Amino acid sequence: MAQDVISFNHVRRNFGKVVALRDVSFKVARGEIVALLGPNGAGKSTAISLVLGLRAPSEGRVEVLGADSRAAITRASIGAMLQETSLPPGLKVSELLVFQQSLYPRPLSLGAAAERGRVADLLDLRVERLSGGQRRRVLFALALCGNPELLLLDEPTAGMDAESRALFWREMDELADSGRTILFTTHYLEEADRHARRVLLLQGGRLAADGTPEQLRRGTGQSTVRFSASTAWAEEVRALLPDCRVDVLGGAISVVTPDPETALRLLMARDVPLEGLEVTAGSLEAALLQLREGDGER
Amino acid sequence: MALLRLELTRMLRNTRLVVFTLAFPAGFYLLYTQMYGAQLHLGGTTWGGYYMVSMAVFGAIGAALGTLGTRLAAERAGGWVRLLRTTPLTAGSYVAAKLAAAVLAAVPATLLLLVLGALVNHVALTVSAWIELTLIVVAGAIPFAALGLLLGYLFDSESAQAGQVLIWLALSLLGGLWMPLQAMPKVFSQIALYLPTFRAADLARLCVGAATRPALQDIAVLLAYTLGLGALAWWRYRSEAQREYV
Repeated sequence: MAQDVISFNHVRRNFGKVVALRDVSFKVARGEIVALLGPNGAGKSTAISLVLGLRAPSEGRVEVLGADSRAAITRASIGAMLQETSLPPGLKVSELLVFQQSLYPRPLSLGAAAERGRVADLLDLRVERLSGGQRRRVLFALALCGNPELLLLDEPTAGMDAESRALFWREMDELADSGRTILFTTHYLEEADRHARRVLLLQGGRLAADGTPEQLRRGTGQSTVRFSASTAWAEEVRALLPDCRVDVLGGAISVVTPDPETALRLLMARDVPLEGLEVTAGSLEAALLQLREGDGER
Repeated sequence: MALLRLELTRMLRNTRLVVFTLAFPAGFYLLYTQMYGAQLHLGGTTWGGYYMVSMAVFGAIGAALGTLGTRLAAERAGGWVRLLRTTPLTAGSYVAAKLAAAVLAAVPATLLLLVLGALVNHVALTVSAWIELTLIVVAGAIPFAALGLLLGYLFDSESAQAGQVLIWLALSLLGGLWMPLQAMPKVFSQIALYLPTFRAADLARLCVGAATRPALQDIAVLLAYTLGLGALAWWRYRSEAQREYV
């Protein structure tokens, strides 16, 4: 049986009169790395707690690995990293990991969990002495302890430095390649863009978009041309490109255009200085903004 | 059980708790038995034996409360309980481990006070009476473990600490653990009859020949407290689980 790792079937979740999720349906297959995006209050946390079985849907059905998400059996196959989890003080990192392993039927060895979570250097430290970034690493290692099929990561890289983040995503890719499924939320859109193989966008409790990051970016049909030039040039640029949005910000001029090639040709023909030139094909941010504006107009 | 081991490790490393629940009762015991004389007769035994039981119960219940209430409140607030809910650990075994750790936490204070009584104030009991006394004092901590559970679910992490210490001290004072009820106004003796602190100490004083109430009555009160507090804690837990399963 080809089994979906996560399946939301017409899921609705109310909190009193507030509707956190309305009629959300999607499926996640094995080995996917899925980013769950959306502004605060869009329903991300609710969706995560439904997958984790911490909450029940008001309507519809949430299945994880073919069973109801609240069934005890699914917990053996899930590893979770939640936001703002403080670790119980008085314990060494290694003691916590050993405890976590004891909860699962098929755990990773301590060495493997420590290596994959990059906490080998922290094992003998007490949890209350850890820095914010180190604590995130320990939480990630804890999520890996049970050798899970599905990893749920709520803002996993918050508080990590650039290097940690890069190593973290390399580990994610390896996990996905070995058949693990990963669902994560993030505030760093560029992270979702670069590392997610699929993006689910929640907007006001609805699933507003579902596609690869590229599909979402392309959907905007826009590119951004950015270069450093004195503000004096802004009027000239506006005159040259009357149909484009031209912004001046911090000594840089940015032009949003569906056709960056023509725009550049026109600029160069007028000898506009294009120092530090940068062209980006759309952006997830633009896609999100567009969806949000569209939502507001409705 | 892994969680129990984890809890006990944390308990032993919590120096503040160890100091509070060992040094306080031991210090009071030595101070007041020196002050009034350990051989003073009181309620059918010596002051040294009587107050040994009082302080053993005082330390034991402090340890039971201290390992549970504040810590549970902090774990709920800090998201640790939420994380555990995503693991295969069941709510029942989590609570069972917490309760077991709280009751076991009562052992060091109990043993310390009994050793001090025997060595410093020459309290003489038969071997079986010593063993019985230890078991009763430790078992007497059970209702307080249930109380700690309730406090942990009732308070948030900041008020838990203060609330717990206050309740510990108040129950101990009113239950006649700090000074014997005989030395307090009459009304306190009446109040004490309804308090688990008095009942736990009274039951334990059976072993030193100074019990004032029938043992079965003491046991009944302690059992009622355990069940009542446990039911309240369960109810708090359920109502919280309705909102979110934590």
